[in-house]
Order: sequence, then structure tokens, then C-alpha cells
Amino acid sequence: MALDEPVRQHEHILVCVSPSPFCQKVIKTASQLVEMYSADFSAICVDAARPGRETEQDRRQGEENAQYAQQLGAQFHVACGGDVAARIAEFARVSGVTKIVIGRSAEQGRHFRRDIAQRLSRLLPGTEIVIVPNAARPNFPAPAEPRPALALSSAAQAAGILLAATLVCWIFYALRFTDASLITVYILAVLLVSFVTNGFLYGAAASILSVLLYNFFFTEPRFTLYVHVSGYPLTLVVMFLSAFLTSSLTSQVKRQAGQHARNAYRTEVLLNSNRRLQLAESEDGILLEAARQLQKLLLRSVLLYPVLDSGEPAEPILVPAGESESALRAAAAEPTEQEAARWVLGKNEQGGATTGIYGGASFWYLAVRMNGRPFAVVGIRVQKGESFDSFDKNLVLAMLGECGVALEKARLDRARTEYAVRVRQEQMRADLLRSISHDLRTPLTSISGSANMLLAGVDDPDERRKLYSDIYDDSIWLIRLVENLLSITKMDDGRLKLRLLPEDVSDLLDAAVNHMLPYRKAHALRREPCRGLLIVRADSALIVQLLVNLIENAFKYAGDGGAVVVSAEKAGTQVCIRVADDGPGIPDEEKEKVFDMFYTRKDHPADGRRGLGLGLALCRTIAQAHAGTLRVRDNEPHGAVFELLLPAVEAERHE
Amino acid sequence: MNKPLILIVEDDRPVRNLITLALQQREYRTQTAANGAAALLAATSGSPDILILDLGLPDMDGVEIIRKVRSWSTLPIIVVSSRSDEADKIDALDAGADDYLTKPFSVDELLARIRVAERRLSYISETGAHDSPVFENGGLRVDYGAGCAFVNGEEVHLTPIEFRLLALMARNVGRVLTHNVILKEVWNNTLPNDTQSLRVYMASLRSKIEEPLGAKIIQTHVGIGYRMLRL
Repeated sequence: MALDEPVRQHEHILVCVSPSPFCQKVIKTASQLVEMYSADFSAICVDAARPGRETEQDRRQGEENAQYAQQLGAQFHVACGGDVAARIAEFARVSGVTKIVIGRSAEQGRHFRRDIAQRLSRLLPGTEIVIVPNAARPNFPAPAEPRPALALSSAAQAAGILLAATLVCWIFYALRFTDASLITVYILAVLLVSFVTNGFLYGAAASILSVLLYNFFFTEPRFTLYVHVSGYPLTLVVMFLSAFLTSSLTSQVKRQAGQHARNAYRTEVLLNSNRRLQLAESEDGILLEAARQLQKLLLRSVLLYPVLDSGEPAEPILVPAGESESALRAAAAEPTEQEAARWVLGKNEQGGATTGIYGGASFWYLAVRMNGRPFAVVGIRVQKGESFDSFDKNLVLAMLGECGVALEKARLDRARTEYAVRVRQEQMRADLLRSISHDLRTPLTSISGSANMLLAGVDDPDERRKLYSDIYDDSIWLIRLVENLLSITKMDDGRLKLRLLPEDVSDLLDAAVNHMLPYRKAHALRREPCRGLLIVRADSALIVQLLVNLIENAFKYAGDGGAVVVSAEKAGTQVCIRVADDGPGIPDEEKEKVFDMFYTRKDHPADGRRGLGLGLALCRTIAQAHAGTLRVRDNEPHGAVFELLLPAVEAERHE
Repeated sequence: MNKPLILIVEDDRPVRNLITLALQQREYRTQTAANGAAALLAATSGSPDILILDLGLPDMDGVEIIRKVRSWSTLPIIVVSSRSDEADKIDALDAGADDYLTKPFSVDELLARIRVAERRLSYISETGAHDSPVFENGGLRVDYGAGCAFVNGEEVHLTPIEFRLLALMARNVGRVLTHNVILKEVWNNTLPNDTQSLRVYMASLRSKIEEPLGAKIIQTHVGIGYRMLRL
């Protein structure tokens, strides 16, 4: 097996959070696993939404557990729905979870039931399921089974309905209706009871009562609980079961209807915010969008402190609801609020209103996390004495979770782009160094060799002259190389740092032509006067260098005796600068290639070796940095014309 | 008149030798200094006529030397810089240098700059300390008092800004004036947007002056500024 050991896949550990104090141990175990595998960490809480059965203590414990999981670096998610195992399995499949950590508790009903682990392992055969046993039975007092108090009104309603049913039956009995009709009336009554009252208990009680009432009033012998007719006990049992089932179904339907409404709402909100977060361009945009969504959702004012690179909170972004921006700003400027926000940022926990820490603050503060590092602090306005629904709280946590995911995605995208740019730059730099060291060696060999010969003494004056001029030409070539290199060093981060100023094109052409004066071929260079004043925004040094490169290139390909013409004219909204030669021209298939970095033509005409292919590639980079284009076309009757197009600037006079 | 005495301040020995040799061949008198301290000493004791100053001295900021020298003397200063410190060059011109050379430069370029400096010297000695009310340069005549300019005896119609521009160039004939200096003197501000106005006015001033004159009298130093040549 050692030979073809599978590539170790990246682990993603999911911990299931329940409202039990024991759950913290489960979370801790999961976090240890996360550390061991350096895995991704998610926590899920399934909101089974059993209204009335969730005590205040459960709610608080659930929130505490969720907070604890987040402190340990988990991305927190809330799923909705009755079937806990199915929801967890669904999430695990979608998020690529490799391990699920779940707690096992002996207390049925209050925690994930014993069979959840088994169901999960059936639903997710490929996922490892870690069960943390509740070895040390917590000795906290088992809270009383949440029993809805027998509300007087509900009991009265139930009694009323049963009484009415009995009256109706009395009439039916007098009219000699069959027993079946009477039983149906009672079942209808139980259904009504379940419908108007909350909870399962009333329905169950009504089922029993209706059987007793029927038995007492309408079976022989009447007004006793005895039954003479054989088969009646069976009828009574069936009646009880029908009534009981009816009531339990009704209460379940009622419960589910409420839950569905909440689910639908939550899903819609999360989907909507998710879509908006995906649309946001930058990380700041994501944060701002999240704050807006929270405000819209909770109808509460929202503060958002982005975190600076130094780890300090920046000026808050304010999204007011039902108050003016200045009022909100004043509230946020309170020293307690600032302290609370700072504390939340530092500790990476919740704080402020509705929590134990800085409980006097008028905002509830949470950190938006990305890989465990707080990226921003969100403050949600909670008025004094006002409570904050745990449904809303979970929704906020879920939304901040989405926000964290979106931020992470944005950050990864940016990192990927940066990496690609860096790779390209490194590649370019490596190519450049290779090419330069080659290009430097040749002229340096010629210079040092010629100088050496001259020092040793050369008798023939013509030979001497030739050596001198070789040294001169080669040093000039080195100067040009160094100038191009200096421009490349300006290209930091793949961008040219430009000093753009309005420049007279005529001046730029003069400067380029003057630059060529020390060259032996300079007499074959002609500069045509410009018609009218042409102004472009340009970094003069770079554009002059571009033109010098083009002129040199033109001479190189024009060959001996070739002439080069430099001109400029207005072309629509652009200025077109042309460098034309009358050489053999460039074949069509090579026209685009000449701009490639390190491209040199195979058939070097004229002065052979001089091919720093860099020249034209650099020219095009400079042109693009000026929002311009550089292209080549054929000259008439032969030769090549390089055209540089730059946006023209309207010449205005400010008196 | 005697050939002027030129003080060469350059820390690199081969370049110092090259400049000295090139100037001596044209029979200029030379004096050399390899660092800032020696340069200041030579400038005070030797009373040179022209100063060639390398900006990359090991011991002292070149701009500082220019400020010190300018506190007592108007002698033409030509700064020498390498291309990488373009900003230093502009600072040096703003501080009062007259001209600049960028390394690597040819001997011909160096000699041309020395000749421009010489003409500025003769202009200063002709006009003396007080500003003359009228400036003459070839066929160009600028009457500062009357606020008008003539080319070959014919008046040229200039807008007020064009005249201010021309007068500024004329008063500093032979000197390279940076964009900063021109904008400050002519427009009384240095809003970067006005560089464009400067281009426009300079183009129209040139067409009004240079065309009838038949000579290029205003030089453009791309990325740096302008200079009026002494014809």
C-alpha cells in the first residue's frame, strides 16, 4: 500500500451543535481534530423548531455553544428542518465534509438522538463519523420536561367544544342516528380541539374524554361507564385511536406550517444576501452589502467597523434604520461602544447588548471572521430593555457566516490573480536577465579587446581608427541597453509608474531626433514638421525612449543606405506618430511577432548580432500604459511603418 | 578676452580626466575638485567663471552646493546627473543652476553647453548689475518698459501672458527655466493642469517670434523646461 498511497485529501471537519452543556466537550474534541489534521472547521446547528418545547435555558445554552464553536474558529451554519440527520447529511455533502463529530447523550429527546449517528453513517457512507460519548454524566439538574401550562382559555375552549359535541350527539341520538354518526361528531370535536389549542396535550386529553363521554351518555346501559353489547369495547378503542391520531396529526401540521414559514423566510433572506454578496466587487463592498442586508432584515441600525491591516478598527460605516445618521453616529461614538467594539475585535467573541460583557452597550457586537481572523466588527442596535429573538440571532450568525465565505472567496481570487501576475513577472525577469547577460558580453568583449590592442600599439592608422570607432559604437549600444533597462525597472508590479503631463508632440519628436544625432546614420533621418499644435498626455522620457527605439529599429531593418522619416498628425481623436523606413519591410506573418519579448528576426540584416528583442516589446508596453496603440504596416513602395496612436488632448488657453 | 576658468567638480576620476582633457584641448583654463568641501573652497578662493557640478557627490548634496554658491555669485552652473536622478536635476535647476548634462554625454554636447554658458557670461558683463530696460537678441527686441516686442524692427502682437512669458525667458537668456519656475512667475501658481496652458502659449509664442525671425530661439527640454538661446 505504501507504493500507491492515495494523495491525502484536505480534511473538512463538521461538528454538530446542540443546546446541551455537554456539547462544548464535543466542540472541543472536534477542534482538537481540526488542529491535528489542520482541517477546515465548520459547525452546524439544526434548528428543529419545536415551538413551546424550547426553554429559555436551552436557547441560551444553544447560543453559548454556537459562540464557543466560533471562538474555536468554526464557520457557523444553521440548518432548518425536523429531520436532523438529513439536514446534516445534506450540508456535509454540499460542503465536502470529510469527518463529522457528534455527541452521544443518554438523554433522549433533548440532544441528537442516539440513532442520528447511525442514520448519518447510512446517509454518508464515505464520511467518517466520530461519536463523542457523554462519559461523565453531567450532574446538572435535568430540567423539567417543558410542559405547556394548562392555559385556562385553551382548557375552556376544549371543554366548550366537547360540550357542544355532546349536545349535538344528544340531538342525533334522539333522532335515532347511527352510532357511527355520533362517533364522527366526537372525532370532529377532537380535531377542532387540536386545531384551536396549542400543543399535543389538549388533543390527547380530548380524545380520552370524548371516548368516555360517548360511553357514558350514548352506549347501553346509558349514564354508566359499563358496556353490555359485545364488540363495543373494540368500537371504543378504534374511536380513541382515530381521535388520538387526528389530534396528533393536526398539531404536527400546525407546527410544521409555522416552521415552514420561518424556513422559507430565512432561506429567501440568505439566498438573497448570498447573491448580493457574490455580486459585490471588493472585500469592502462585501462588508458594506452585508451591513445593508442586516439592516434591511432586522430593521435595526447597523454599524460596521472594517479592520485595518494594523488590526485597529477603522471609522465605522453607518447604516441607520429608523433614526438619523447623525444620531447613530453620536450613539456609536460613546466611549463604552468603542470599548465594546475593540473588545469584540480583540477577543474574537460576541459582546455588547444582550450579552454578559458590556451588557450596557446599545449595540450587539459580533466579529466577521475569515480563517479565524476578525475582518470586521458588526454592531447591531438593540434598544435598552429590548430582547433579541434567538431566531434573529441565528440568522445574523448565518449571514455573517455567508459574509465570511464571500470574503474568503474574494481574498482567494485576489491572491490567485496576484500569484499569476507574480509568476509572469518572475518569468519575464528571468528571461530578461538571461538575455541581458548574453547581450552585455558581446559588446564588452569587443570594447575591452579593442582597447587592449590599442594599448599594445597598432601601427596602421586605418586599423587604429577602426578599433576606436568599434569601441565608440559598442559603448553607444551599451548606453541604449542601459536606458531600456532603466525603463524596465520603472515597471514595478507589472505597471509603469508614469509621470503624465501634457506634452507638445513636436517637442517629443525633436527630442527623439536629437537623441539620434551622435549616430553615424543620423544624416539619413528626416523629421517632417507637424501641422498645428498636437498635445498628448505623456511621460516624456518614456515616449522619447519609445521613439528612439522605433528609429533605431527602423535603421536596423532599412539596411545600409536606407532612410527613416519621422512624422506626426492628428487622426480623429488621436495623434498618430509615424516612423517609416524604406527597407524590405516585415512579412505579414511576422508583423505581430515583432512585438513579442525577446523576439529577434532570423534573417538579421545589416549589423547582425544586435538583437535585444526587448526593444519593441518595451515600446508596446509603454504605448499601452499611455492608453495608446503601437502597430506596424507596410510602407509604399516598400518598407515598414510603425504607428504610435495616442489620445489627443484639446489645446485650451487659460488666460 | 581671456578664455574662462572652469571649475570641474566630479568625484569619478576617469570622467573628471575626460572633461578636463576635453576642455584643455579647447584651451579653457580648468580647476578640479573631487568632493563638495573642496568644491566650495575652490569656488570661493579660485573665483571660477563657470562651474560644472556633478550631483552625485559623496559628501554633500549637490543642490546644497548650488544654494551656497548662489548666495554670493551669479556664475553659470552646469549640473551633471545620471538619468536615474531626474528629480534631482529639476531641484538643481530650481535652486539656481543654469543648465544640465545627463550622463552619458558626448564631448560635443559638453562643449556646446560651455559655449552657451560663455554667451550668458558675456551678456551679464554687458548689461551689468542693473537690468537694462530693453533686451536685444539677434533680430528680437523686447522693450520691458513699453511691454512690447519687435522682430526685425516690426512689432509682434502678443497677449499679456505671451509677453510675460517672453520677458521671463529674455531676462534669463541662456538659462534652462523649469516648468515650476515659469508657472510660478507667469501664472503665479503651480497647478499641474496649467502645464497644458504653458504648452499652448509656448507654441503660439514660438510661431509669432520664430517664424519671422527665421531661427529657433526657444529650446524645449522635454520633461524639464525651456531656454531662450543667445543668438
